Amino acid sequence: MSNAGISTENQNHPIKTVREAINEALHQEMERDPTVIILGEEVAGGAGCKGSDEAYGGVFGLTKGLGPRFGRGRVIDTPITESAIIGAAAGAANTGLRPVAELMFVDFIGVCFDQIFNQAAKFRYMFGGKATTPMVIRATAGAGLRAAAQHSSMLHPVLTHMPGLKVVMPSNAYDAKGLLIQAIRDNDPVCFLEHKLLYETSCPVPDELYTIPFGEAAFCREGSDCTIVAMGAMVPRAISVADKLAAEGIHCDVIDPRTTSPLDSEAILESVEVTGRLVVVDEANPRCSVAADISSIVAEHAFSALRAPIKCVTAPHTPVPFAPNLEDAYMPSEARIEQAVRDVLGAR
Amino acid sequence: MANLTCVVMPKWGMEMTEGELAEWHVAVGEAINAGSDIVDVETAKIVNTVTSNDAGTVVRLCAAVGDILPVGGVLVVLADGDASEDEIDAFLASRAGSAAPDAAADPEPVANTPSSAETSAPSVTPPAPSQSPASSLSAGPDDSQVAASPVARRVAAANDINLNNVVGTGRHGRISLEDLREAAARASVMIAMPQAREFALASSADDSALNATPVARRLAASLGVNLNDCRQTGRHGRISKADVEVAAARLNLLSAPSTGSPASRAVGGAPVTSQGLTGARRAIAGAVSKAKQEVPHFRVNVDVDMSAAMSLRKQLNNRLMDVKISLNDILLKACAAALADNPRINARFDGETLEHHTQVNIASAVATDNGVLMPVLQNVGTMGWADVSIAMRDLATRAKTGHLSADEMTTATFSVSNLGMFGIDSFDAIINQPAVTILAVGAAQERPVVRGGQLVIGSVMSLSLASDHRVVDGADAARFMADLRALLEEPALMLV
Repeated sequence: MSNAGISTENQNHPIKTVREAINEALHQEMERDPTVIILGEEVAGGAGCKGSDEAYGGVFGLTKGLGPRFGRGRVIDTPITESAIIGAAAGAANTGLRPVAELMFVDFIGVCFDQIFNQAAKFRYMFGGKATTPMVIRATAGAGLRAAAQHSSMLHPVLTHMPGLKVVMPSNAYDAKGLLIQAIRDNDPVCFLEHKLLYETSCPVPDELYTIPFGEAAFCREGSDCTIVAMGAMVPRAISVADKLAAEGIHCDVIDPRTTSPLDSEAILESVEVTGRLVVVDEANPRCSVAADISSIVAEHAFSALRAPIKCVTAPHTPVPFAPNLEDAYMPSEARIEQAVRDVLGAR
Repeated sequence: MANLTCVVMPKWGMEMTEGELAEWHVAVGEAINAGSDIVDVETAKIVNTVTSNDAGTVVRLCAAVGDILPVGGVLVVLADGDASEDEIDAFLASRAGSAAPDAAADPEPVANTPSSAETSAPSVTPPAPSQSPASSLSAGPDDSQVAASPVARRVAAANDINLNNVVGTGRHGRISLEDLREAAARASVMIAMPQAREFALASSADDSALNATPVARRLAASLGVNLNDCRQTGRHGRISKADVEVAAARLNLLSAPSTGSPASRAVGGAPVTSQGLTGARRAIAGAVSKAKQEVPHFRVNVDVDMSAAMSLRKQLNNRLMDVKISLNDILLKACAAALADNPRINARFDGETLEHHTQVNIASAVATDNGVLMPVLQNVGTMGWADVSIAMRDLATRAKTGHLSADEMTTATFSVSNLGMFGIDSFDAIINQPAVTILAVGAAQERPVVRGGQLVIGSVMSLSLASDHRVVDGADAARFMADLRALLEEPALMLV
């Protein structure tokens, strides 16, 4: 998959994959700030395992090289106990460290949900603003890798629902680096969801440190006929559909919110005010989802601008299937996105 | 160094925004007193003389006769001694710079007032208060680094608004669309939003696997409707016959509005048919809408005693074998005679150019199945009465059967609409542009009239002339109607 079309600030920077951009951000932030630590399963290569430390760095290799570079004191391999990882990270954050905890798959968040939503997310509120919890929870998410129902979920709607959490979903390498650095420097718990299908996508990424503010949507394509809001791995698909339709003379705004909490609802509403048509593309299940949320915000605040019913292109209300053909049908495809755009244009 | 003052274009009344210089009363080098006449200025309403508030020597006339200056524009520069050209330039430049902020109605959100553009050309064009309002927001340094939402940036660019002139109150202090609207409203600048387009997309994707009832599928095939364009409201989410009909109506309606066949439905049990306008009806709709919206109509009405005309008609028709002259024919001839004496009425006006014609070409409203047509009888002034009658009958017949040439539709210098045959007393007509008047003719009816101090029964016809007040004044119309009335009441006058 190519991300050549995704806008970045300067096309002259070296091309990096999302995996490289995240690894680089971690390296550079740990270098810059000694309070940044890493916790997670096998993040340093698997404590006590034979073989080179370089050989491993998390199951997807995101933390590769951090252990040898910064030592086992700052890159901590944990037991396979998510509640312990997040609990330790939350406590460490309260004491002044900036932990970056890794969940191998976001699907496992259930076992550490108390630590996340009843502890970390509420510390600032419960202690009257005197406690901060500057932690990052990195987790892989999403379907498409034939990993079956228990390793393929998109759970950002669950996290977005919780006050006190910030939820970040980068869709390209440039955003991944800037948003991760912002997440590490942020003084509140941030859930950083990395879609597995995006790890090998690439685009120009500056070598130096930079941040992207939370709550500012990116306009990946601009047009006044239809607004497409897409998140995570759905962004490249939406862009591809927009480019195909542009060849027919149909021009779409493609908006990547980048963070679902805070959400740049203003950008979405302004765009819909111009286009009058909205398609929301989200890989998550449809009920109580971010797609449903965006759709409701627009219906509530820009109803008079709408020229057609809002269309949501989402997964069905089922777990992710294992059968490859079913998994492919489960995820919003370019064909479904295109049909949805044509539907709102024709408003049948 | 001389002390410089100036005399500016005054504001005579609320509506005056500019004035045209008609005649100078001073020349460069002339010494004048306070109260001296400076220049005659013509506005939309009046011609008046501008006087000076100050005494001094005229050192520069800032405009020429015929120039149009906005209110506040500098007319002359006065000095209390000798002044160099540079001094005068600097004086005008400083005025331009200080006058501009006054022009922006509320300068609060305006970070940079436009001044450099005006000050660079100080010699003739004075500051332009209230001129091109967009300029109050369009000037300023490069705004590419100003934080703004993408949509706000796009709309600002499309409306030539520099974002440095807008205060951002949106997310992270960026400029939102709302901020842009607010700044524009304060500066009284209209901003245009990009308009979303209408689409009537017909799918071409394979619809063979879609779930549809057999009847719906057959109907879709016969109508050429792709099932992807249909809703699925049938049982078990199938596409029903009704879904196909709805899609067909929608696609046809959107793609070819003028040729839609009549659709029937029922409202409250009563059948209703709806149909897009035909091309002819659409043309009529466009023409009358334009005329009614664009032309300031006024009307002059007169009642005419037609007794003499009617007895003359009876006399003629008793003798003539081949023709039957109608009152309308006599009316057309009377109009032609009156128009010959009233060239301001026999005219065409396209909004820019006014043509007064010597040849009288009268359009008459003819009702046809496709709507009213206005065929034109050419050169009525030179025709005999019988010829008018024959030609008018021919014209009406060809109008009803659709055999008019383009010339016979477009050359009118005057128009008549006669509803007398329906017994209508009087009515208002809409001007048939580019003609500048139209005569609405009612029925000749027996009504009491006073003749020689006696109440008698006369045959009275009500005439109403609608005129385009842009080029025809009330007196013009009244004079024409008086002439027309005289000709109809004493038809013998048409002979001389």
